[in-house]
Amino acid sequence: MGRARKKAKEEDNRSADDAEPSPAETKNFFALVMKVIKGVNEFYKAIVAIIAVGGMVYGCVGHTNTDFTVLGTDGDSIILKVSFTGPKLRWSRLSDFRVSFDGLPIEDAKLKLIRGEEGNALVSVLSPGIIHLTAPGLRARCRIPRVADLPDRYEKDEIVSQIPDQSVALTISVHENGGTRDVKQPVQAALIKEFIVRHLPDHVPDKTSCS
Amino acid sequence: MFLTIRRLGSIIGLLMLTVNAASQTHHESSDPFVTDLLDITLQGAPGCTDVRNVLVVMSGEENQAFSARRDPRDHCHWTATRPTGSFDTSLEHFSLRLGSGRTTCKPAKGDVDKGVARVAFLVYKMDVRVVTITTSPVIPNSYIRGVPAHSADRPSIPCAEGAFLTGEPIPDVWFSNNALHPNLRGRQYDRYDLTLPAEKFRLQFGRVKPDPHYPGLILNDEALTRHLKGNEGSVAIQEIIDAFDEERAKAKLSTPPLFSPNAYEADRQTLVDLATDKLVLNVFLVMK
Repeated sequence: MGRARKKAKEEDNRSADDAEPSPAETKNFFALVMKVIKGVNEFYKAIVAIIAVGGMVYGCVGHTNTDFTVLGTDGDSIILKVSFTGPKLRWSRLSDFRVSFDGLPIEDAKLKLIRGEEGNALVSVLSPGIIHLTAPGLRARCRIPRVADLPDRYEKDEIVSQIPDQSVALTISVHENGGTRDVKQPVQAALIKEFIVRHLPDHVPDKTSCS
Repeated sequence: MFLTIRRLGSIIGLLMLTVNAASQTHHESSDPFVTDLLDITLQGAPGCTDVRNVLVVMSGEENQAFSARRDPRDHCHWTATRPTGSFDTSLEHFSLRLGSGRTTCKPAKGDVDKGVARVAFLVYKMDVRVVTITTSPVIPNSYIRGVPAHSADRPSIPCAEGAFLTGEPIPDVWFSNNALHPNLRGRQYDRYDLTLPAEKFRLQFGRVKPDPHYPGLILNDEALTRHLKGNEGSVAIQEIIDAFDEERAKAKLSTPPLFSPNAYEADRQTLVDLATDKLVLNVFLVMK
């Protein structure tokens, strides 16, 4: 009786030893798993690299085109909507803002971005697109020919009365695509009348620097 | 990476704009700068306690002087707002009436950041008078005050200020004692010495609007003041014509010395045309 029980127990132990993998088999299994993980990682890296390079190519390659539209004025500044088309990772730079008063007797003037908007000189797809240009002042042109008993420069009232019939031109130098070009937009002077009125002096001396 | 590129671009852009802005701050001041605010600093008078009232004269228009307000924290700092509108700093010049004196004429500089025009004046002791002039009969007259630049008060400029004569007192006329007492210092022309400057007060008979380019009778010149008694007096038409003649002969009327009977007759005719032949000039020179 006791001998039979002992024999059965030995047979149970022997079958259990047969089911467990050997240490070498275990090592091979983990090596395989690590290889798979490594392969997946390499694949992801390759995908990310491809996406990054593709993105860069997509975002940087191609030409940009910058333009603007005069929206109006808030009195102190001229409001412009700047439009930008082109690759998403490229930008253009705006500089040398000018206004010329073709038919109005006002000297051409330089404009500048209002305080706080200096960074908006860089234009990209993500730019806000609205910029405000201002000037410290405008100066009337010399009166040619001179008229006795009138100041040698045009007076504000004379200029303002001519605004409805005249146009002005805004010009911005745009640096993009490795070069610089002037973008010029003519607008009706009436659109920026308040700006002109506010920046022309109310007083002009009789004699100024007009020769 | 995208954000980094954008930030980098913005930083580069801002740097370029900053450099550009820095270069523009040294730009010469002939660009127009339009404002109606004037920021005034008085120099040379410690504490400025004697200055209680400041009137600003812009580009010589005495009849449109406007008052300035004193900074309660700094009595040498005054601010003024031109009530009749804005001006272009690069076209105008300014002078002050202080009640106890006046200043030279100076251009102001535009402060773009603050939106004001800034100007500083040297305040120093001078002989100033309140001048009152009337004529009988009443005729339209104007006056021009020719103010020299002062070498100690840079960048002062020579200027001409004037207005229509209303008969009201004209304050703070820079009127050297030498004009009344030419021999006091032994040198008649001391008042044209830059160390002892004084303005040249010219009367323009028959003019509704003062003209800086038109000669006029110099009031603070011994040719006329010798006819006064002390600080006041009445001058008849013949004495006025004689004073004109003497000033012209001494080349004080912006012409070379001239002894011309024709000019003498022309002066007489001009005054006679204005007021028959009974013009009397009443002058009061009150010392401040």
